[in-house]
Amino acid sequence: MSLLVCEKLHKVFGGLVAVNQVDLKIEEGEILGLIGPNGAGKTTLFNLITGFLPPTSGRISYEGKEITRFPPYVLASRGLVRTFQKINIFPELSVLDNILIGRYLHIGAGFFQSLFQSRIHHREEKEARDRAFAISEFVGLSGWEDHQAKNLPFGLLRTLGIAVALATGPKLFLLDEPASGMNTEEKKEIIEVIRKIYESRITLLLVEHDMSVVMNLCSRIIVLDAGAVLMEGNPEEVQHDSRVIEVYLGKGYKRAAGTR
Amino acid sequence: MIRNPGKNLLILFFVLLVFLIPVLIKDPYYQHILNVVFLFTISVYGLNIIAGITGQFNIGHAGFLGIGAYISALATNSLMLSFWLAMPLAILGTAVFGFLIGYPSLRLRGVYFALTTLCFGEILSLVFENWIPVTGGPTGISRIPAPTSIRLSEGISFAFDTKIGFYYLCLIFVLLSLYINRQLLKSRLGRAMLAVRENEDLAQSAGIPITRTKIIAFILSMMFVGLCGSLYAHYFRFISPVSFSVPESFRQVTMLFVGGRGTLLGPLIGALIFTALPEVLRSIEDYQWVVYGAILMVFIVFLPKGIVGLIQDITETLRLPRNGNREQ
Amino acid sequence: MFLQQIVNGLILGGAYALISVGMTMIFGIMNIANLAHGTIYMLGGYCVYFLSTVYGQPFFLAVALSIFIVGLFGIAIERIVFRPIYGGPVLYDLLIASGLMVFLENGALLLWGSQTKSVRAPYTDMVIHFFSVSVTMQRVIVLLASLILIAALYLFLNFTRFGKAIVATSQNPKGASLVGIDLTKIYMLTFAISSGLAAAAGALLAPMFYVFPTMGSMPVLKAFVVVVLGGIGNVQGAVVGGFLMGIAESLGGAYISSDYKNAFSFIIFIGVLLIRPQGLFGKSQA
Repeated sequence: MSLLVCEKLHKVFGGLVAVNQVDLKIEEGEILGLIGPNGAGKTTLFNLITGFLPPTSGRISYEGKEITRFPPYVLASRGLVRTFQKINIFPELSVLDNILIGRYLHIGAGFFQSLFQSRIHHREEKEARDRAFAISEFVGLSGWEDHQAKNLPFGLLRTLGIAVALATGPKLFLLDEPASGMNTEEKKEIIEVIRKIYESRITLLLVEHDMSVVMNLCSRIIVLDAGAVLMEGNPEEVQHDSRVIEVYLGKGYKRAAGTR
Repeated sequence: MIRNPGKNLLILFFVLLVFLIPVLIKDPYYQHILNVVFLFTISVYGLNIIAGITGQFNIGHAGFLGIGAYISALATNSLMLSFWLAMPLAILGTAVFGFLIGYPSLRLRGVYFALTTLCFGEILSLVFENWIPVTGGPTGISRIPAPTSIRLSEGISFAFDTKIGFYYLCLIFVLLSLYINRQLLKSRLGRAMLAVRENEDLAQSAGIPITRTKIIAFILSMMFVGLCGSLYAHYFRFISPVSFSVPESFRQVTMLFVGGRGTLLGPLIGALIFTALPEVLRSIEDYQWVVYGAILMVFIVFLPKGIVGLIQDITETLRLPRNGNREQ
Repeated sequence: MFLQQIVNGLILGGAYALISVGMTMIFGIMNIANLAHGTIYMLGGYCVYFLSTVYGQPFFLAVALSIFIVGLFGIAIERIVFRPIYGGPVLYDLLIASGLMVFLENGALLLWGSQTKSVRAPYTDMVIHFFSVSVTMQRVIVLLASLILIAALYLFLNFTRFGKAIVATSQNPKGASLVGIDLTKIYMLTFAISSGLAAAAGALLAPMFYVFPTMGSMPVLKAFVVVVLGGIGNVQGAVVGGFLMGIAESLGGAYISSDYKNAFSFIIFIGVLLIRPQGLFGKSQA
């Protein structure tokens, strides 16, 4: 059984069809790449899957159960977590507190336990903090834990976003253009982090514009154009597919593909 | 495990000092000021929970204070209940009210919630002024009894109809409010509220139920407000719509932001400044509202985190280097 | 009686429309909930009071001057109060507007006292009768003036360069700046126009409703109701909503209860927000 299944996912804005009857499957343990030219509908599709946008029609199921139109916080509790293309952090809080918020789902002790300073509260808080420190180290934010999140250098802001999402303990991790706006150095670091995440047995869906990132990491790639699936295959196949090249570079390059 | 014995000792010292103040300061005028400071501190702690920590501005705050006050006053004056029953009733009533109003309106985005509470504040003002059979209209409710004395055993009883007696009553509630706020910020609920304030989208994707968190924050806030309203009514022994009007809401919002929104001591400091100063500087009484408006504007622009926030920022900057030179 | 209330409502509605249009422009273009808008309205009233009663200028000249003076004041406010917090956390604009409102209202109280001031206007003794309605000429002229200003705004927004730039900015600020539109100037202009219109409302209504420091506190809330119902940034929505509000209030006050007259708008507001957060005309910001 596939981890995530989208059946005939369809989204219309006014007169514009942003996502056109898309069928998509994500298998457990893979890194799936989602690429396509600007305006292809990648972001919309992403938002549909992650509960930030309701589909006009179609179904989404996760672990065999239907999750269409479920709000993001419910999806997170099931292990379906996303990151954002735009930098999303909790600016005024410390880096550690940022990641600690990601542990929300794993702390059982609520307000009353805190009020009475019960042993459960102390224990779970300590566990959460330890885990938060571990994640901070895992993504490369060691040493920054006490700093205010908004004071982080730009390249680490997205890393923090990933750390917060990672802290929720995802099973299916969806990354929205994690490398966008990064320089070469930063991209390398992000790729490393993503690879490490994959190696800790988390399934990944990667929406990305940067081909080097996608080809490097993904075992399977889906190409979207004008809201519909154009093709899918492994990196080799996608790179040489004439339709893909045409969609990205225009008709004139179709013949050039053959001479590669 | 006591992590910081020096700090705990300092806190203990201050608490002892505060308990001894009525012995040290005998002038009833100053005792009165302290009591009023405590009253507003409790109210602003309530405002802090919804506005400072969760980032949802309740501009009708003072109206809800009025609900607590009127419920408590009516409970003692019309239902002939003791203060010790009226107070929990006020807390409960205000919390229920908060739920009824918060449940539908907190699902709206921030600005719309703020405007909705503003409208509620105005509606409440209108009701307080016009529903004469219940609220007494502009003349309000008077002859509200002070809290009845508590007799522990032969010869030992606590009286609350004196300024000193009330001081200790309020002090206990202020310390309670402080403790609750502190523990809130250490719990996952408090962190969730902060997350909602800082970034709703990210909070959602981290598994936090936004609307539910906001509603809980609002109800908690209303409980503080209900408590304060009740204490207010039985201290001043007279309430009228004017104390629960929208301008009063703005004044308390100013207190919160000057003191330091979202912080532990901010509400206390804000209440202190805005209660003590006008009393001491009687000469500016006519100008005080103009000053409030100006202060709020200046603080939002230059010191949005208030006095306590500023101190926190300074200590953080001193404590940590800007660059992460510690990275290996 | 019913028709009379409708006519009264239209006159009131014209003023509400003027106030609401200004507010929706600021809200839609700059994303600022300007709670201090009511004090601008109030300043318009005081301006016309001083110009006409104290300095003896003819009424409509005083109104025109008030629009101009308060418009300039609006620019000052934009620069001094709001500009420092652009791009800051959401809702800080609401807070700073609250501070400004408290400041201006109580400043007016300090400077000019709490006694209501009355403004005499021409044509009050001419009364027009039609059907069962009687209206003073002055009120008719007030309604006409409101309509003229609204029409002028419409022409400005649709047919002048600056006006079209404003509309473009409201739809897409980033795109507008990319095309070379100077956002700073647009914001200044928006504030100037919005303040001028609010001042016009205050000045035109001054003879009917007197002038006092808190005269703007109710109108600003009602303007918010109109703006949200009509759709944030939607000028037509604000105009239509303003007139509807005036009529609803007039009828409600006459037939249901005049004590709670002010509460109607709020109740409608809360009701609509809960059922349909995008308002009646939409621009889904909620």
